[in-house]
Amino acid sequence: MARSEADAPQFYFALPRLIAALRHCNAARTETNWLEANVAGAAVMLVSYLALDRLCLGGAAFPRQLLFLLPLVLLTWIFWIIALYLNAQIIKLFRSFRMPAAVSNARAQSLLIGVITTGFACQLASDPSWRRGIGITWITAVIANLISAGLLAIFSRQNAR
Amino acid sequence: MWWRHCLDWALLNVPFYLQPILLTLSTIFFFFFAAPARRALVSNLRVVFPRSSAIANYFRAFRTLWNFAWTISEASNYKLTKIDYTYDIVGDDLLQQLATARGAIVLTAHMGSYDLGAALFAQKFQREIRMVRAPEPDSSSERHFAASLQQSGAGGVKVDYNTSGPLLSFDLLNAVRGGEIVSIQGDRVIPGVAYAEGRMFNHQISIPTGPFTLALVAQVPIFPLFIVRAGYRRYRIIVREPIVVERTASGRDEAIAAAVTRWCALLEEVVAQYWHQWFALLPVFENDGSI
Repeated sequence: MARSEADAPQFYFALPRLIAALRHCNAARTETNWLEANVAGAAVMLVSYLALDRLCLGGAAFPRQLLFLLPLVLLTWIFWIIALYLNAQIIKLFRSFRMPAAVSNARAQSLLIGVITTGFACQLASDPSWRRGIGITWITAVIANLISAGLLAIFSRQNAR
Repeated sequence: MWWRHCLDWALLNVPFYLQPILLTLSTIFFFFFAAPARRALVSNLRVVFPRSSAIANYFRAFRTLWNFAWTISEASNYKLTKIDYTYDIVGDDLLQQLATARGAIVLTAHMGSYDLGAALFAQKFQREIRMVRAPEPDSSSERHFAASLQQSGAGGVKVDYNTSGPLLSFDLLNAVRGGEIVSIQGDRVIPGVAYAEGRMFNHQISIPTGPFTLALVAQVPIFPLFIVRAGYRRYRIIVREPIVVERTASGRDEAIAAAVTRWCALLEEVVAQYWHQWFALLPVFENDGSI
């Protein structure tokens, strides 16, 4: 159950893992980082909430937005419950076309969630208000993560040789 | 019951980074709709924090329910994926004593992850542990729980129900005399179970006397043990000095009463520190009009 924490893997996402690798630390993937778990999830919810807010309320005045705060949080939650279910059906379909078994359902869901959230972020990035910053931040983080994943794959192949 | 299936599905299919936020949102939902549990938590917290405001206790009740959701989720996660947890031990030497004891009683409370703890203890020390508990109100939920516990503990955890009648007493006595470890929750009584009156936080509370009677008859020590959540996928095992129930010149009842008093003092100390993980979802204090 417990392992030595001295050289234990610390991160899940590619960007912090790349930084760990450059610092000669363990760059293996782990899901035990509470900061990643909370920050990434909150970011997904925030981006999708803001996108749904923009979609449903458009340029509504602040008091009206405050009034619909809780219903929109509920809508965001319901959206993701439905999205996760539909994603699961898509994954089931891909598995029937022999999607590699090494890709777990959770990782496949992660990819689809990333696509959906990035779509929301692109919508936010075209907004003239402060929401634009949130959208751009998410897109930047995704691009940085993808580049890091590529670099880690290259390092891993080089080390294997 | 349906929510347990949803939880199992979510743990296998939802990425780990979405689980905290979805768990929090689900807790908010259940906090509003599980009124009896919410009221019980607030009622118990009113005793633990007598000078606190009602609003503060409602926030505390939410935090307790949130921790409850986490412990259920993490116990299910362990059952399904055998993920790693880290833990630290308070009272390591006492835990070692327990692990090597020829017959012992573990006395715990509805606190932290007692289910996960039992499964991990059985696996770590390769010892079978018999867990005595009240059955879930719903039979299918109980079957799911029992199957989960068996799976988590790889067969090292056996479940006995405290509604099984007097035969259970003899079974447990035989088990303890045979060198087994029996785990019992000692912070709540159910109808039909023998109990004694104790005091916690200056209020009367009913404590089941079964563990103490068993310890007296079998002449084995009682190890107070709690497993509390110390963070994201981290737990703390707290083991306290064993309670030894010995017949004195005053008689059996006095010996049990003394042990109950000692247990209440210890439980009060632990609950005062870990109130946010005391999952007393039913009122436990006698209402003398002050609650």
